[in-house]
Amino acid sequence: MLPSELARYKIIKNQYIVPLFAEVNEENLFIADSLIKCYEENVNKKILDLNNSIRELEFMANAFGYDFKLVRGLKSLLDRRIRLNDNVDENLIFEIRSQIFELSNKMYKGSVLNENERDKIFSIIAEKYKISKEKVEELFLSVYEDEMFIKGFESISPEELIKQYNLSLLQTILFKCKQLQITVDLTGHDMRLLLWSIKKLGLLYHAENNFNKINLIIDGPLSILKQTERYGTRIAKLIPLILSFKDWSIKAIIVKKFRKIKNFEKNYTLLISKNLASYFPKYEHKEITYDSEVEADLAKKLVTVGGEWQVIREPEPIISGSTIFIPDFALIKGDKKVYLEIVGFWTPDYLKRKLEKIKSLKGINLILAIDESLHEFKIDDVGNFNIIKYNKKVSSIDIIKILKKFE
Amino acid sequence: MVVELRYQGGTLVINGFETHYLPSLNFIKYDPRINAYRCVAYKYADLISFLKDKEIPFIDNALKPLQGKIDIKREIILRNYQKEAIDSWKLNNYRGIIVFPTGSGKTYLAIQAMQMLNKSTLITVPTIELLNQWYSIINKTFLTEVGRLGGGFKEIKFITVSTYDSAYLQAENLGNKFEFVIFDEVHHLASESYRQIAQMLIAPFRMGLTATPERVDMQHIIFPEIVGDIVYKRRVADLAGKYLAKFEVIRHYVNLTEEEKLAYEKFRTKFKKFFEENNIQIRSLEEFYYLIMKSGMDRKAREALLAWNEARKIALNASEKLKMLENLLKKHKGDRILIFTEHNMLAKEISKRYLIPEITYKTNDKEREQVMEKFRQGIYNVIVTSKVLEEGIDVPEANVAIILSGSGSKREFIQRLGRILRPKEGKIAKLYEIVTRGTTEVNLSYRRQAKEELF
Repeated sequence: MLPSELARYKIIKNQYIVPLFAEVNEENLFIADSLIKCYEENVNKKILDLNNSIRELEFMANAFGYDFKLVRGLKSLLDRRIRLNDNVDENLIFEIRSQIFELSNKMYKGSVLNENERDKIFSIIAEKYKISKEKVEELFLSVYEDEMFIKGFESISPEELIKQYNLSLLQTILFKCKQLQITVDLTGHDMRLLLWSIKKLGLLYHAENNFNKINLIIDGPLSILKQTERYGTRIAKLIPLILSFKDWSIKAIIVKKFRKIKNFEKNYTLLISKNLASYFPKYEHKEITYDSEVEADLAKKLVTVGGEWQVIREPEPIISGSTIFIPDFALIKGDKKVYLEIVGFWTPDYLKRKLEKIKSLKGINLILAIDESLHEFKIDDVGNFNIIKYNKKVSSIDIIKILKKFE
Repeated sequence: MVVELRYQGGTLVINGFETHYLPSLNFIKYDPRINAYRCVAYKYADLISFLKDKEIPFIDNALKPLQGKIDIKREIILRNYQKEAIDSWKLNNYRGIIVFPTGSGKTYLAIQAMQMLNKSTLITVPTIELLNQWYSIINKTFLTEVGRLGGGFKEIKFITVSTYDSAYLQAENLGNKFEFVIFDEVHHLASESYRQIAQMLIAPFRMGLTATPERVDMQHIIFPEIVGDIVYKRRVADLAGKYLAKFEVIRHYVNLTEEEKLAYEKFRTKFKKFFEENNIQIRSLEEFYYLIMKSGMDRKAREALLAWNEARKIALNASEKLKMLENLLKKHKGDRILIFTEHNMLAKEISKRYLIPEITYKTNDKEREQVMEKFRQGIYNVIVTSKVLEEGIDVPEANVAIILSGSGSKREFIQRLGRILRPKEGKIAKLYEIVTRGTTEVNLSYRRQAKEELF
């Protein structure tokens, strides 16, 4: 992430906020490369030295017409890749500093007011620790960050740096986001991954159909009561996952506060889609395998006994009310489509919510397989759906029997 | 149908809620995402009293207070005005703000309130110093274990002290665990993000403490809603002499040396000319850099920047200022002195040059804690600090404060003053301000309240 004052964007038509991403072109590659070299050259030197050479570079870059915010933004990403001298003995520094201050109190009642007094204290410490006065001075000063030594630098290619910069820029702007709308066309598997991430971040979504795609409107529990940027940092964390999808577009509501007018803020819209994918680092997400043995086992059997019924795991998501339902299986034969949902582990509360979701699904064929070993269960709650019960394993024969009704 | 309350991420989810209740509860909203009603957590008390009032049966799965109890190690004896303050807070249904000058013992008053309620308590404070201070005072008074949140700690216990920052980040997680919340230096709560801490907590019992409740931006008008009204108020003038040390303010003006004056004028003319020629007006540092960097006239811009920087350095670090400081240090040898600077740079310079321990926001936790402790014990007599010690920290022995290049806003002034105003027999505290004459224009004063310009 970038410090917020380094975020580069422009406002268009008093309505849209457009991030000023860095193109991967010769000029930007040059400046990125110069910066990276600068870091590499300053290994084993003080942060102070690094900052001085960066400042020079910044002025030079400025002379060539670069935006200083871009240079500093790249710098802030590179700063995170340096390793400071971990060889410093923090306890020794701490000890020496306290002794210096204590001596200054004991000998001079709290402050040394001339060079001689100061020198005397450093001499005493130097003698005590059998080190030079210069070394004492060095240790004394080493609590200040800019006096620290750079031990190592984890390098990066100029192109990757620019792409990381663009991602950070986008995320930095999203920190001030009240709500994010994602438009996607996803497999059941990928949708599950996305919904799981949303849930894990403590966010909530509202789903709606958008022709053959799905809109997910994402914010948090508080959002319905008061508009807040509270969830901005969490929403920004979804971006790498979104970048890993084949097709996506996002629309975010960004709040901008005006320093000069107290309490005045305005919403702007940020629009980005996969057209800009080449500006960002490449992400891939892991495919997660079947989540239960029951399902894996059933998938295998259905393929063997299903005949012409085609078996699809985690088919496309279905919208139910404002939430998304991803059935475990879709069984397809010609123009007939039947969904199969396996309800394994459940608590009464979970089942209640699941059934509510299922009840609001209209115009689909659904078979529910429910584990009978767990809880008391009243079938009349489920309406017209086909129910089979199972114990440990779902019988593929039971399912084929029901499928016959649809043939 | 039975109403069920459940806590979720700083809100209350209400199931089984009938729409005809709605008109009297305008803070509740239907949330289609979960097909239930929802309100912000701090409305808990209002909601419960409504349900009880109307005799509507309900199940409260929302409040899950941490279990425990307060065991007293040492009785505290309150002064009369502290008792009065507690009484009027109690009369206001255990809600509200108490305004006391720094140093008049608001921590003890709050501890008394905790003891009285004996409920899970969260205390929020603005700085790590205050976090440690509350922690150690509570530990001296109660046997009950105290948790800390912030400054490297992440413990949530029956009594927890947290920084505002950590409480903001953890609000979802803290919201239903505490019945009593104390906001120390409550004026911080006015900012949009910190305000959410108060809103996302269920805690029906609330107390705010401050020396200066008014904010220039009027944001404090939110307090009655989220903390309660001001229930008790005492100013410095009410208590000075009787309970607080008397104090004396001495202002010293220093001039630039002839050399500095010349240099200052030279640099000032240079950057002023650049601004005038380019028709630039600066309101903030950021704007300044932006304009300089943006402008195509690179060499001139760079020179102007350097000139501005030099002029600013001269004004801030005027060697006369440091000479004056030296004089005061000499005069008050053996006294307990706090030195305040506006910038870390100057604090570092003073610490380096005079071998005075410093506390700035960059000081690491271990050293910071030790410096405070040693100052209290009298092992250190002098501390130099930038803005960190601004609020409420206890340094009971300090009797001299020296402000270098202070910002002159009313709030800071009082708070810094409060630092040295601790009751001690026959003590007259001294507060020095060292101000450089005739350099006002260097200062980008957009952030300052216009009342008092210090340099």
